[in-house]
Amino acid sequence: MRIHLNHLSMTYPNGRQALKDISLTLESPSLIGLAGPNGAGKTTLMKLLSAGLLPTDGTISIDDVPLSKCENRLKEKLGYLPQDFGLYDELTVREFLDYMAALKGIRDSKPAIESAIRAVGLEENKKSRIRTLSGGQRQRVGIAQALLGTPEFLILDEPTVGLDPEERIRFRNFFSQTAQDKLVLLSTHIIEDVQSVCDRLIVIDRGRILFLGRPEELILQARGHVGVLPEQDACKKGSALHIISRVNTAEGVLCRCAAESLPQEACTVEPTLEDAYLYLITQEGNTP
Amino acid sequence: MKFHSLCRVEVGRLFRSRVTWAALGAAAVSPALGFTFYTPLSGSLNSSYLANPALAGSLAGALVFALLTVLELDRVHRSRTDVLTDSMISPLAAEVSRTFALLTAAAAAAAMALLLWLPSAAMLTGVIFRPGLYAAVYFIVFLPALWFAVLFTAAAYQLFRRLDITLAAFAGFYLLSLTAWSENWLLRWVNPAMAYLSDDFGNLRRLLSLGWNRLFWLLSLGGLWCMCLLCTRRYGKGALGSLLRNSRKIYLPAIAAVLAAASFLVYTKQPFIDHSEEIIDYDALYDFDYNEHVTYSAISVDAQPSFFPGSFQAEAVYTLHNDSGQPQTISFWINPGYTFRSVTANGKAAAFRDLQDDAVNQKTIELDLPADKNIELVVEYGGFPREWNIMSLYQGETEISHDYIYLAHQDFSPMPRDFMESSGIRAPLTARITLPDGMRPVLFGTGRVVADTVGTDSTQWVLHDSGWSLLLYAGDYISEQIETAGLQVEFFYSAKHERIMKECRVNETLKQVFEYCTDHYGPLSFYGKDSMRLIEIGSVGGGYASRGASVMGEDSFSEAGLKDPLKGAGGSEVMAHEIIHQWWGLGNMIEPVSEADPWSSEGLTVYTTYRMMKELHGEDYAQKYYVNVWKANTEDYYKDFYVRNPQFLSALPERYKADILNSQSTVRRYCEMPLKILKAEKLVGGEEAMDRILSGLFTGETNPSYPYLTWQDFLNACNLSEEDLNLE
Repeated sequence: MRIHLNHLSMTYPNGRQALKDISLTLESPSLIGLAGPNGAGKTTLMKLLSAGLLPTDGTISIDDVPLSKCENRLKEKLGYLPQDFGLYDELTVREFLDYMAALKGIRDSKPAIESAIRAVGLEENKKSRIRTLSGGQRQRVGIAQALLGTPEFLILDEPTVGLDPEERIRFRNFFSQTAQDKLVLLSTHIIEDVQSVCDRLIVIDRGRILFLGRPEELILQARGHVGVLPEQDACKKGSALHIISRVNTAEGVLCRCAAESLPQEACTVEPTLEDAYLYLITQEGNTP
Repeated sequence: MKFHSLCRVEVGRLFRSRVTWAALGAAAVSPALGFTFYTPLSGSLNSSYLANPALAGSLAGALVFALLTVLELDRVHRSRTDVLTDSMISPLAAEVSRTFALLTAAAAAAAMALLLWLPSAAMLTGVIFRPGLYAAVYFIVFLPALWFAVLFTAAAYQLFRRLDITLAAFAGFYLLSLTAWSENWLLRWVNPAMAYLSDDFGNLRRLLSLGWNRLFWLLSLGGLWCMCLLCTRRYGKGALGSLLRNSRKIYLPAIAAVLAAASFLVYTKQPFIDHSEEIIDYDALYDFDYNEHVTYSAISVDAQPSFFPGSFQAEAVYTLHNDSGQPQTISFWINPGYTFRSVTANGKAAAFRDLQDDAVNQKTIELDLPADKNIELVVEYGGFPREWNIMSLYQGETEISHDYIYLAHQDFSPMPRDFMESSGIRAPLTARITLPDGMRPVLFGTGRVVADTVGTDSTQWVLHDSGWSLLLYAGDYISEQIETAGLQVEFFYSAKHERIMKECRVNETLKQVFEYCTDHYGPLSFYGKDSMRLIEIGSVGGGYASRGASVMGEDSFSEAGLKDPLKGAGGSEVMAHEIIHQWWGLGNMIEPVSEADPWSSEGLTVYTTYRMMKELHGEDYAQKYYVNVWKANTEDYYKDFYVRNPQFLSALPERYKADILNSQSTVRRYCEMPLKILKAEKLVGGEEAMDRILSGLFTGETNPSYPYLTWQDFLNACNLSEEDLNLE
């Protein structure tokens, strides 16, 4: 599957421009991370890709066919987990998945449902009414419905929200396996997840793509721009220095900072992907 | 995904909800309200136990389903479940499937109600219970009301996407049907106009008319719903943006437009009601010149009724005489629902013009006659008989069905409008009509019917009457014949009433009443030469009489009516009461006065029944079952809080006020007035003196322009004042 976005822009009726002239190509199999601060345009991009919104400018094509002409075909191939969604509380997990499988037009739905339930670890809850589930379990039901029918294209918007750390790691690995033969677009705030599993990373902010490439390439860009220095020195340097984290040590509080040019007293360190991401979005001109 | 699969899935989901089952249960039991709280119809078992529950169920069920619809549609958006479903299927398809599921739930509620109330309906209506009619009432009255509530609410929600505004819009739509639209039979969607449901005769016409109302609303709301479906939000757009976007699928606005156009046609081209002016100018109606050169000497009609859907085709042959030697133009009156298909005069086509001048349920058709002296005019005509538009809320009197036929005058054959019978003779009117076995024709008046040829499952009847028209009744009539008061009295009633009539000793009662009343008050003015025909007909609310015949509504003989203790102590006495109305109420019309006045035909009829029973069973019997009953009720009436404090009545809601006034009026007419007559009887010198007074009033001349007997006439004849008859 090949999805091409050509000079895509999206402006909401209230005048807010969520995406500005975005062009990119997504091809399967791959797991692509989508990162960016709140309001960057991630959810808008995902809604456009799931045909939930129409771009105000530009085009989306699926396998070289404009989306406007293959919307139904896209929906047949799509598994979508939105960030904010509701379930039918009166149904059991199994009934709900049965309902969603029927909407997807899955003919022999039973194996697909059982497989999805197993994948999200809800075997013990499959006969429970959805109204009795915890937040994390509801999120897993959401993931399960996205996985139904082995979709070719998975859009997962913050899929690990509400999951405990163990479950998060399990799902992270599961998504990685799933992407062996699919196109998976994973939106997350947790950069660690991206680093672990994504082949490619898209960073967007204020509707523009800041970075598109392999995670290592982003790390490479940040090399020499991340360092450690005592807190008092870091605080003196004002806004040009972006503090990423603070660590208590025997010598006092040390700050991990990112900047275009680090002060001499800073001890340069090897950046992580999170450092690189923060460095990228806090560079001059990118600061919100 | 195929649409039917989508609907199946959505129906399955909806039926897993407890809220849905609660709504189904509430709607299914709502007809119970028609047994107690909402009883607009009376006079027959079918009215009380079929129509009232179905009507009450419509009112309550529509509210329940409107609420279910708005909650169900709103929760999908409020809980953001639509975010998931819209990623799989088109939001339009999702909206359609949700509405379809709700319509299915409404159908399930109707089916549940149908089954739930079947035993009680069958038990309460007894021998007259007909499963087809029972099901038809629920499926034509009850189910569509639920569907319309779903369609309107779904349409409003698609448009506004707000629960509160949708509910307010539905409340307005609901109240319109009960208020501003209540006088328009086509617009009453939740409380369809149904005045009566016959036990003994047919209801086809009433059901067809209700069906037309339902068709109109189905098309209208279908169109509205389709139009609002276009506002289903998608691609993050608002109502207008979505409308423009969705309209690209041209078939949707096209369907909406077709449905709207069809509903317009159904409204304007309805075949049931004529287009008579609301205010009738009788002077203008009869302001035409008679053609003095053309007369008729005989009419014969070959009638071919179609029992479903109740239309009528016929060929009428008029024997005409034209003494002018010139071509002439004459005209006929005919039912506005009929058309002339062809007219020939002496075998040659004659020109005719439909003037489309509907008035008092007839229209004029003019035709040109040749100069021939003797003309055989053959008219082929027919159509679906329309009823007078002032009776639009009380449709169903004119009927052609397997159960009943009532065709009067211009409904049966074109009536000569501006030419008369040849002088000196009353032109014979002969008609042939084939009726299914079990159906027997009865002519109003002195005409007679003869079974001509008998088929395997039908009989051809020849109707012999005279004049320019006839009134035909046909049903499962059986008849009783008695000789009394020098008359041959023939009483035709439905075979369904045979048991009741026998129990009430109909022959004996008829004989007693005719003898007693003729002897005490005088013969009926509408007696025939030596015969009198009483006909039970398929309507309610009194009857009418003329030319040796009198018709009485079937409610006079209903099982419930014959148990009314205010009319008599038993079934035969109540039947006597109803026949006595031939003297008081028909034979001498009583001035219709306000609800507050006791003066009515009922008072005189109850008094006469009492006198008759006193003569038959003795004074103690009459005292116990009549006078004591009147006294007890009247004493309670005078003690009634609202009678003593009428000023508080005006503070009550209209519904309660109407109930109380109705109850008070019943006591005044059935109990207070006979007591006043009884008091007058003592003051004027006893029973014989009162009989002379009543006989004088009955046989006396009334003002032809206002032929009503008034309370003051009675007081004057008794030489008493109102104060003399004060009972308190």
